[in-house]
Amino acid sequence: MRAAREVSLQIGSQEYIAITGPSGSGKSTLLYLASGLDYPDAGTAYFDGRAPRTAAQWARLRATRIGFVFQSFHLIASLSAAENVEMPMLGVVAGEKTRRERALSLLKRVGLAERTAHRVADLSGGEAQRVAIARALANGPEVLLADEPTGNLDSETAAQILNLLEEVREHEHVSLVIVTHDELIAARAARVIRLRDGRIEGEERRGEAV
Amino acid sequence: MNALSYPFANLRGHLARSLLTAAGVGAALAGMLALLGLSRGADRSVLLAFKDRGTDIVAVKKGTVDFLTADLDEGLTQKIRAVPGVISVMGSMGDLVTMGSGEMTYISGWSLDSDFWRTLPIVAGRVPTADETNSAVLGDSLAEALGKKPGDTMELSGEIFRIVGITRQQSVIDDRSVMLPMPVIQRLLDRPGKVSGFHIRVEHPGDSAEVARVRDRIAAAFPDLLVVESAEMANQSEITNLVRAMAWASSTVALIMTFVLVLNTLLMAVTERMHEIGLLSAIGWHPARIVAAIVSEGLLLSGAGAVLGVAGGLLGLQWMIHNPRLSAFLQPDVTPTLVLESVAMALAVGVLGGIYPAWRATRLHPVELLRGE
Repeated sequence: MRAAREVSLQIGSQEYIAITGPSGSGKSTLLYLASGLDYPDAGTAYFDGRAPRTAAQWARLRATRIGFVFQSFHLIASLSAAENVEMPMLGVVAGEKTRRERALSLLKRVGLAERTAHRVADLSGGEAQRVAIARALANGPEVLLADEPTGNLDSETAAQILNLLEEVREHEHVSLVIVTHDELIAARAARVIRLRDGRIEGEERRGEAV
Repeated sequence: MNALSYPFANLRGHLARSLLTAAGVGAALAGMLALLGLSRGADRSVLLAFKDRGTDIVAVKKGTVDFLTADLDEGLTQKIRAVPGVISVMGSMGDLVTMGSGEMTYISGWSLDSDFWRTLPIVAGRVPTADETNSAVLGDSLAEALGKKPGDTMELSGEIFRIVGITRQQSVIDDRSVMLPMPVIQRLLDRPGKVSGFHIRVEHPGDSAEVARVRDRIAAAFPDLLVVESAEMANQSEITNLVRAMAWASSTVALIMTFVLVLNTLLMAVTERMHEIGLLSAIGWHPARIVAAIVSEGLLLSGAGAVLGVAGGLLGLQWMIHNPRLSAFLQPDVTPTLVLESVAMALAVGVLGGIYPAWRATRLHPVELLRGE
């Protein structure tokens, strides 16, 4: 079974893209292919004009230039909020103190200055996703890939998280790619890619995002 | 947060499992340390026993498993003395006998006219005289354990002996034994005119080539004797060889148990955390870093086990040293090098135990791990 086929997608600098479509249309797969978490059976994924060839090369890109936000947060339960944010910095940012200061600054940036030492289990869904966003920004990425980032949140918290992602895109000058099946969320993006059965069904450009 | 914080947090997250694994590693290491220490202690005691007596060469019956019970003709003493380069020969006899309390002790017998009695370091009382029938000298540790002093009596193999002196020696074997005149021990053990072996001193003990030449001369003249330099005697004894082999065999089993224990714990931990390992890949951790983190967990587990093991092993040996029933025969020799070697082996096994789970964790594609397939 092929989750995505004959797909050609280019993500530009500081773009705001929504990838939408019904369940099983290949939205998440496209995101995984774009970040080297999954490999295409045929075709090539490029980043900044180059096609990374090894898992290590993709890992390096994800560590430094691609940030990931997941639907189910994927925080490490045994660590505190600040430690979760520090995780991507290990091996990239030198110095424990520098890493800790940057993690605290990022948590403050996402509105969690008071929750830095809390364990994941003590955080609400919205707080956990904020930690995940701070973690995705840890090494100053150029692209933020969000896979159904509001899928596990109530509507009010979902709106807050979406606002935060958009704010981050604007201030950090990153490209934001959101995978969603929610048309209202997709409608906020400047460019909407519609997928069905693994193929791009359509693409809409709306100029600047709302 | 540093490179060890994440592995440490994982172990802390399953505290009971981690502590049990560390305790298992510790128990294995403690056993290993104790067995190797005792084995080395047995070797050391044999060497010190010869050193106490200034023995350069030892001659025992060839082809004997237990040198203590082998019978050699006492008359060989003078014949060996006649070999060029030999300055003195002491026939000796030894065996394990029951004391009045029912406990076993080592007894040794020496000719009254030998250097043994002349050089014996007496700390209380005196050495036996030729006109005494059942007189004995006790090693200091044995006298202390039994609460005996010169003038007291003790029972050996059903006979009452008068303690005439107390000696202090380096070898635990001697320090926990009873020394008797040769005729007395020959009668007690019903081995008249016999000895178990010969302690030989040479004219130039500092000249190793000369010692070897004298050894070869004695061996050539007495083909029924096994003649070795005292430093090598521990390797010639089937008993000490057996103790050493058992210590190493048991230690190897303990190391294998440690390996299986760490492997099992980490395999369980990795299987539970497949999603998390997929996440590490998603946030840009190099596969080698993921492997290092999992192997570090093995290292931390075995490290904690090593601390427990060294502490437990040393405490256990201390208990053994202070237990009169055990310390009569067992005196461990635990050096810092042995401790470091044991810890290094435990750590190496911890690392090895982490490699397979780490390989399992990284062989799957990150996206499969994230999707929980």
